[in-house]
Amino acid sequence: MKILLIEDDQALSEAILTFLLKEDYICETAANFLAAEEKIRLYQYDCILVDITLPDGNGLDIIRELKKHHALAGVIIISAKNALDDKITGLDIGADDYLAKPFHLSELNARIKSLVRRQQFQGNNEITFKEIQVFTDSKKVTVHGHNIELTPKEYQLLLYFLANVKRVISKDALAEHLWGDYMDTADSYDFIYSQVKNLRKKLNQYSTNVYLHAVYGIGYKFVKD
Amino acid sequence: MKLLTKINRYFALYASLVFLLGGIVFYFILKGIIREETSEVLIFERDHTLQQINASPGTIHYDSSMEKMIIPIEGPLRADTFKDTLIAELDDTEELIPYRQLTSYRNIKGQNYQLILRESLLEEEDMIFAVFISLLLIFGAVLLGLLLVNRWLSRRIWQSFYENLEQLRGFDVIQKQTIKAVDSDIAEFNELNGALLKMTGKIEADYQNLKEFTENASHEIQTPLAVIRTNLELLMNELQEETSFQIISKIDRAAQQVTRINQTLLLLSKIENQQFNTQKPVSLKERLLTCLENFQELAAARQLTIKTNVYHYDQKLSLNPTLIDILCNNLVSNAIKHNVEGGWMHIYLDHQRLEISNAGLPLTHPPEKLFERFKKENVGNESPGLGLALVQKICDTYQWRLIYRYDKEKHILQINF
Repeated sequence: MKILLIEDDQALSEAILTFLLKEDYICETAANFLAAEEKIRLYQYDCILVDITLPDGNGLDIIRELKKHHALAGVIIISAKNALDDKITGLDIGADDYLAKPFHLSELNARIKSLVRRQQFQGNNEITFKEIQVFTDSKKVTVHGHNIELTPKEYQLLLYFLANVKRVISKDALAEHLWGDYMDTADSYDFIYSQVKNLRKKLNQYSTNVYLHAVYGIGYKFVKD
Repeated sequence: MKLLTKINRYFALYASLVFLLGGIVFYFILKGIIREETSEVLIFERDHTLQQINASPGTIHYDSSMEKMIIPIEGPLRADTFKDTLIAELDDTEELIPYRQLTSYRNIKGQNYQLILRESLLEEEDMIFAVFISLLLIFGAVLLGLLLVNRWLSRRIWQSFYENLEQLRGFDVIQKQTIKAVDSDIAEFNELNGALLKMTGKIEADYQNLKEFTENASHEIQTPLAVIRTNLELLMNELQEETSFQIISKIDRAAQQVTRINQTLLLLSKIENQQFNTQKPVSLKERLLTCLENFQELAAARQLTIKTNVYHYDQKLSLNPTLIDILCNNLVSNAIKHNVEGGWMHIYLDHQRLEISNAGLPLTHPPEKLFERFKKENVGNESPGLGLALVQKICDTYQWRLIYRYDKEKHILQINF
């Protein structure tokens, strides 16, 4: 799994790189337009994370270039501009997703995984984690082959956890994932708590393994203990 | 006080002073002239009488009427004298009447005589009275004229002034309308117009700069914030100890708050800068229902009863979908946030208005401050209090009227389209 990160801010680029490497991706970085252009001509990537504002060019042009060469790489725009026009243009010219800076790394991770899944299996795909199986096309979840009924939010939570196995995910990141920017995180903490509790209960209907763990009351971790 | 009234006052004061002084001077001049005239009449009368006496033969007839007295005297002849005197009327009223009196001494046919001639001054009083009345009439006419002229002036000359004033009143730096000052032929007004144009121009430029500054600042803050948060998240997965985890988590939450404030400010300035121009047919009803669905679990967690009455709305308006989503999300999340446990929420939508009401405790500050930036109900809340400012801004964009009411533990937010 090869990722190209095009980001001009060195500190941010390093942090994202550290994270991606830890998640076992193969990752390269480009700090400007020219370097990025060269890399996409020379190598093949599965996923490209591109910042729109680059010192020597516009990230949108990289996407255009990429699509001209019919590259298979999925494209996620990461932009500090949070300009909705850029988002619309970006998606129009072939980007697959758009993430406004600053974002949670776990969110980025979930987006990358979802993108790769769509890319490689045309959406007909299942995620398996031990005895848990998620069928993303039909949004069905089974544990040991038994169907379990999840609410839409529980389903979203489960997918998010499965994309970020073994990572501490703060409640803020979960709240933002579920409701975007509109809900104050503090107001939704109780709700997240009850959702996680319900999800845990439903997963344990047909399994004795506990995967969802609270971390110091501040976040959660999806891991087999 | 109006400038014209003020000027009129001074003018009227000056006019009355002039009329008063003029009246006094006029009075004395007139009085002098009448004296002079009367004296001349008396001298003529005396000469005429003497002529008559000299011409008549025989003894002198002693005339002792009020106006004319000839009295023989023993003493020497003296010089003629004039004097004013008051003499009681001979009738019952005994009213004192002013007279001009000439006393002459003459030797007629060897005998010294004293001649006393008198002329009534009653006419003088009448005359002065007449003059006083005419002066008063003229004064009245001047005042009336002043009033009429000023009224005409204010309609003609001041018109451009009032027009410009009206424009200034309607001046709103956000609306970006420019002031078109009406020229007049009055130099002062034109000077004022020039100064006003310059000032409003400067206000506009300053406002523009401030907006750009806000947008640039917010934009520049994004990247460092992203660095902070990303690294915090990395750190979070390295830590083993609970205490350090809690510290990191606190920093992370604060950073997230800054992020949110910053994003909202950026959004506000983008709406102000009209960067949401792209319009598509949007169904307000569909957007509202989608939004409600997104929040339904949260509402359920607070055990809120939600009633929607939106079904006779079937319009699609040409709006910006992003703005409408922001509007709906803020309104709905607001109604959930400021609700009470086990409360209710009611959404009503028709072609004239959207009304979202919910149960809740009364506001602690005046409702008109509700839409101001950074105004929040309870200080401890992490919410920056920008949600309703956003709603207001979006309503402004589409010229919708946003009204808030509180009525019997019920918060009502109403948008009139």
